[in-house]
Amino acid sequence: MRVGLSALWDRRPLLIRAQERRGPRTKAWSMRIGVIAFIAFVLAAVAAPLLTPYDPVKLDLLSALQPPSFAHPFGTDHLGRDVLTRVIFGAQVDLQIGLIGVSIPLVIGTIIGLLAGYFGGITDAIIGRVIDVVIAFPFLVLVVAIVAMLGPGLVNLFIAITVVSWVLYARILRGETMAVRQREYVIAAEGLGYGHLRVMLRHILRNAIAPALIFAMSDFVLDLQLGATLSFFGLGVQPPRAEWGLMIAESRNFMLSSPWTVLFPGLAIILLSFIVSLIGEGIADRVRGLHDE
Amino acid sequence: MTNDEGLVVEDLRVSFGGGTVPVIRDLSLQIPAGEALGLVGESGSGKSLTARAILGLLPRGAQATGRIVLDGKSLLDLSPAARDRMRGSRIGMIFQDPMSSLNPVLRVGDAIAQVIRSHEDVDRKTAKSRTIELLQRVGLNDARRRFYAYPHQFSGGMRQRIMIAMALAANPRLLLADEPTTALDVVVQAGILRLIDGLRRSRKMSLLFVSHDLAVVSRMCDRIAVMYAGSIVEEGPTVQVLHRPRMPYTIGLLNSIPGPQSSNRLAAISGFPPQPGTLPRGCTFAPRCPMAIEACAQSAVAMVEVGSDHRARCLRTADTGKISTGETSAEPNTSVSAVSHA
Amino acid sequence: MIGYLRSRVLQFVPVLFGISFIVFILIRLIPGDPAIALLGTRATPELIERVHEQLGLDLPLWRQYLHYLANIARGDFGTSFFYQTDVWTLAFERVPTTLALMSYAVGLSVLAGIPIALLAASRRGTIADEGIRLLLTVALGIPSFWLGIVFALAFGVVLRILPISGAGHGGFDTLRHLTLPAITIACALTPILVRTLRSSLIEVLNSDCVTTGRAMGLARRYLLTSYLLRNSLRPVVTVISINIGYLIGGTVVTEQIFSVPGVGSLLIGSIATRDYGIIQMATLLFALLVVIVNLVADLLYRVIDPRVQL
Repeated sequence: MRVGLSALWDRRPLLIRAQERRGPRTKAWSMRIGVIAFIAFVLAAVAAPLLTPYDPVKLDLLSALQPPSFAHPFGTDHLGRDVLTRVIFGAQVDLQIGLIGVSIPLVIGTIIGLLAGYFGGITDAIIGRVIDVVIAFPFLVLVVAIVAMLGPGLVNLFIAITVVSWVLYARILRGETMAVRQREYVIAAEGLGYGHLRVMLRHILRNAIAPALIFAMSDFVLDLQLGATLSFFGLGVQPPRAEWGLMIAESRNFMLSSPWTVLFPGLAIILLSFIVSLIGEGIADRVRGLHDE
Repeated sequence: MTNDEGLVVEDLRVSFGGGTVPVIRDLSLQIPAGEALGLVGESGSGKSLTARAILGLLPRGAQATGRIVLDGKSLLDLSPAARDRMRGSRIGMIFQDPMSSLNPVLRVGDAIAQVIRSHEDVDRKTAKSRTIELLQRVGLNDARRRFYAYPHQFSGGMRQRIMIAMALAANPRLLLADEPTTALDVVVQAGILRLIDGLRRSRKMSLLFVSHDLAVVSRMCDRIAVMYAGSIVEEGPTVQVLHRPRMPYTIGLLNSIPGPQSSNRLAAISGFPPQPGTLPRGCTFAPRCPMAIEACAQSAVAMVEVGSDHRARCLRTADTGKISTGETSAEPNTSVSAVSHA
Repeated sequence: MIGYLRSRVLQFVPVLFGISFIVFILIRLIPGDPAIALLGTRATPELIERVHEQLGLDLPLWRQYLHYLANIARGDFGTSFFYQTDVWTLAFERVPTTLALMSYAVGLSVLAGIPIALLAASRRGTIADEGIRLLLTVALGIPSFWLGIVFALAFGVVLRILPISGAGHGGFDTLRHLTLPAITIACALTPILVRTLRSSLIEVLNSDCVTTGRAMGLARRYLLTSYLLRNSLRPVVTVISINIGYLIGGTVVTEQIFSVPGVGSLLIGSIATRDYGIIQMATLLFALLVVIVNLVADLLYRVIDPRVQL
């Protein structure tokens, strides 16, 4: 640690300068890679039946728990199903969880947050209170509770996530709207007699939406993790559908002898989360870059 | 192997961007032990950076070359560890804004005691009693109680005194003061200046007083060096520089001080100082200088002796001499000592 | 101090009402008759009738809510038909375990996070820094349940060095039992902590007061503790209190995986048994925890920063 600490007041200007210059370039690259990888995931999920000869659901007990090979690159699980196939089909579900879990709350939350921040007064007071209350609940706990009440299943999972997540977007939009409202061009637009809707959409939304989009990326990861976790506990996707969290749960007892059954679904979650996080960071950097100019 | 030579800086050059953007060029100055040199200039002239270069606290990406020698010991080729030890114990520095400079979560007594214990192997009790002495010396009444107070509980002037106490805690030979009174109001200023002056004399420390305020500097320092765009353009005894300035920039600076002025002085300087990367080829002041001739823009100008221990970096010192001798009085007049003689 | 506490608690009152309302509403989400759902397999027409009366299910919604609030005021949060005890006792006795686990996890996160953040901040812009940030991004995508079972397998089954279930018998034994779960949770929290800490450390490193400290020739040990770390405490408190919901989520999952007898495993376990009373109770407790943590964070700010007035 001694050497490390002296770096705190490092005096090697050339080296540091050169390496600091790496920043923006590598960042642009990482975002591109992220977007490309994400599109690849989506394409693979959509084209799943075309990509693999195996059925993700049909049992084949004779081929149970086979280690990775050419025939089964990710091996097979305890029911003989090809793990790679199930991972690809699982992507269908998990991508849905992420995309739907983000887009619907994004839309709802944006509208409500915009209204609250723009009109202020009672509207804002009420909506603000609601946001404060829902935010007081830990995300996972509330979603689990709602799903527990409604019953397990993918649709109920979507309902629960939507009901809880919209506040996160509403809060962001409300804050941003209130901040942007004060700026001159909005006051000018209002002064020119533009209708409320027009002001909201054109002027405020354009500027306020950026932080929401950045958050949407980390929300995607959050929802994905949540969906996998709930499915792991039997609250989300039900067997025999393929879903990464569910796959891990089903193969838990065989972890020691056949680690591939648990490893690959886990890696899939980690990989997709990483890809989306990269995209989120990329957006954040570009937005920051725009502001700096 | 130290002696009493004081501070000697020769051909100091500070640049950013791996040496491509020079910000301070060919800077040389000397402060014998116990004397005070004022370093004046506009913001961006490089005066603060000079002080930091001497202390070895340059920002990231800055490189310093040249010679900096304190009491016979060269500073630039010290190892980082030796550099750390040197700060505080041989060179002390006080800064402009005492509120942001003092650690808000640390009691002021602890902060000073830490400095003492960083340089000397003393126990906490000794450090504490020396701290209290220091606080008393810098003018804090009730030092025993004030030891336990936090910076935000003091006024600006008192915080500055605390910072002075901190800087002197390890008995440095040289004190660098970077605009210490700029953020304070005039009445408080006088007290702080008196304190610094008294401490300098009693400890026989060298003092480098950086400021943009000619009035303050004239009160505190035996000699003045004027900086412009990274170089010293005039240097000499205070009285001479202020009453017989020989470099047009200095003349212009003096001219911009409000107060009764002689009408044969130059008008206020128009234009702005050059950006670090875009220095003109010859004299850096030539583009703005009302006395510039063709030769000024040709090549860098060297220092010229214009009086006893008085130098100016100008090709036209013969003519500037004529302007200055238009001044009839050789006594310090109120136009340059705007601060009250308190 | 007391006055400040009082005013802060008052601020939370509407939120507390809101929380109780949402918990109350939860039961009404159940498709079908909640009484039947609550009674489960023991449902008989008479019992159903009784539950209807008890909970006032025939009354309009707002009256039911008032009924519910009155019950709570009396300390009656409902009964668990599965365990045959009142829900409050069941849940509350598990709170210390959950708190212990969470504190343990936070402690590990801070202990690991500070050096990593220091490393990244001091080598800002270099490969080491970018590498660390990359690893953090990857780490944020690792599901806690997966990590938990991997750790349980590796350290509990294969290496056999740490227990993987239960909470031990107190003291050091409990510490041992909670170690793997705490590490699992910490792996989720540390990346978030390091990100924020790195930024604030960079700020502090470049601040005037650190520059002054260096100018005075302060010894490394003082700069590190009194200047860098102490001025970074505030962001640590902020990060943890903002992410408390996330932390609780990780704790719930981890408790279930490692069979730690806390409120989290109670919550998950009750789902299978359709013990809705407990689910409500656990949800309420966790929401209360969030509110309390925010309050505690506010108080901590006062302790950390002497400039903060109450």
